[in-house]
Amino acid sequence: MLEVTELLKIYRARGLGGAPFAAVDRVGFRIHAGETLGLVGESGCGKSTLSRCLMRLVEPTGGRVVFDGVDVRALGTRALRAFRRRMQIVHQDPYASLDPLMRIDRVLAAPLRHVLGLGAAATEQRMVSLLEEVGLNATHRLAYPHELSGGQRQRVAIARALSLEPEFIIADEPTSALDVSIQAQVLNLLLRLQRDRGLAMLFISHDIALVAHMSDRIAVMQSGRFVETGASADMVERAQHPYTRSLLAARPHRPQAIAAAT
Amino acid sequence: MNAQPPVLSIEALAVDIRGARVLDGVSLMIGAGEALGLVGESGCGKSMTALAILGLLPRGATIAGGSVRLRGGELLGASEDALCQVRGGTVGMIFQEPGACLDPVMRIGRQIGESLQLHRGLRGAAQQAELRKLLLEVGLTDTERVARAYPHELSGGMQQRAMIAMALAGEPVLLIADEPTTALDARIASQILDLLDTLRRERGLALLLISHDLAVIGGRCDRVMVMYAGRVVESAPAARVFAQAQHPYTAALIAASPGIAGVAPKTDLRDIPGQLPAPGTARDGCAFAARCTLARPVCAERTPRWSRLTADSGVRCLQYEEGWSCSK
Repeated sequence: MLEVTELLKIYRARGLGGAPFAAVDRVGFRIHAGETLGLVGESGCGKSTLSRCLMRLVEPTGGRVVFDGVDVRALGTRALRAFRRRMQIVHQDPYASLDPLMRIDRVLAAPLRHVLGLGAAATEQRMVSLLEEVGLNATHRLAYPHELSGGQRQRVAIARALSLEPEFIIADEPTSALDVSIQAQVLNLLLRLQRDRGLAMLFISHDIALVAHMSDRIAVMQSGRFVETGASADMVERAQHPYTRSLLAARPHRPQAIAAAT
Repeated sequence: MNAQPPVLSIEALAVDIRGARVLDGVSLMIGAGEALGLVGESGCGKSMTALAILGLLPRGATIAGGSVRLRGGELLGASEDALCQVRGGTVGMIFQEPGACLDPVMRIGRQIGESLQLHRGLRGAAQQAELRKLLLEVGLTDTERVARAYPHELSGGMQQRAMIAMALAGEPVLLIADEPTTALDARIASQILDLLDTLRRERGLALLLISHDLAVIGGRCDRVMVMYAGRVVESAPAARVFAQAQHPYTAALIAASPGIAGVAPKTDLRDIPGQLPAPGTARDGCAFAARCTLARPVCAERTPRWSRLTADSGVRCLQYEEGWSCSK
């Protein structure tokens, strides 16, 4: 469904004497419908820039992005807008990605009315079914973001992403602002939505344990490059690259594991 | 009772915010060189416990009972002068966002120097020598550059190391680390936790490690205490918590954590439905009952007491009280 080849993003030199900087350095991968690619790496490795390049929220410098047979980089303004409907992002911080002054019904109604062109009654109906699909209910549409918990806000952000019936979801650290107990709810929701809707997904996190749980395959990114890719289970057990191994070694461990190691 | 009092001993601490009880009967003890992990989700009272130790409760919060002793000396009701000696002195603190805790317009060296002067009266060359020693101790080996740097010139991990150096400047006996790695990448987080581990061993510090993520700190503590809705619901040696969690909430926290739950990829985690009750609501019965898979009607009526299971562990759950087997 998505095929990326030699994707390149170079930022121009900043300040005097600064050198151009490749945030994404000739990266390639494929993601099929119903499949999740996990992207793991540390702050500044280029994983968020990469995800933004896919939707052209950041304009790539080179390479190809082909989505369902369409060359995304060749799209004009209008066609690009139509394309973005099919690919949606869920961001890290639901506190920052929802407008604090906008009631949830306005947040959700905007894409339904203005992009899909639904009438008032149909919008209302879709809104309620979206809220229910993400585990909220009709009363939540009358709330402001500050009246919701972090987990509920992230559900709203997911409902908003789903409102345009996308085929592809980019989840960029979707649970790192959440408590463990709430994180599990949101992860289960994403897994269920993928099963129900056959969504393709790019799941991004700095936490390799989390990525391994959510993904079919993993790509490990360091300084703009993929240093290792492979099936989730293989990567956890037989990682080759020293960087991947160091990420695995930093995973949380149970106390017995320490006792066994010493 | 040992001859030496524990570094920190909290007995039946209770805190109210505008009439609502937010901490209820919290008791804990940490000895020298020991690490205690305090775990629970946002709003369960773990940070409130740390703030109460330091006399830094937010406005509107009042101590409703209990005692907080540092090396045997009572801190509750202590004078502001005495507390100033404790904060940043005998008790060091590290918080989640080093970037927000460091003064953005003051060089790192001066920030740590201030603490050296305030708590230990060090000035001039003696202060500089101690500063260098502290920076080396926390792994900031390029001491000259770091001391001259402003916080924004350091990475998150280095900022947290600088925070730790500052906490050490007052030669503390107790270090409180409240979500010290939540804002950091996994590898950096692991390094910071290693550093805290080393300091605890080498300096014989008592360490109170607070986190919402049992997986992160479980392996770094001698003992773990799990809090829920202002109460301690389980306390046990860390290894035992993972091997056989007694409280349903503890078991649920472990099962919800992708790294330690031990479930197959892309299968559902056992999540904890619902959320923490708002503080001060429904004090009757077990606060976790509404989210508990084992709950029976009696759980909504009777408030569980602390059941001591072994010499060093206990749990607050009706399952462990008499009459559970025949209750409804």
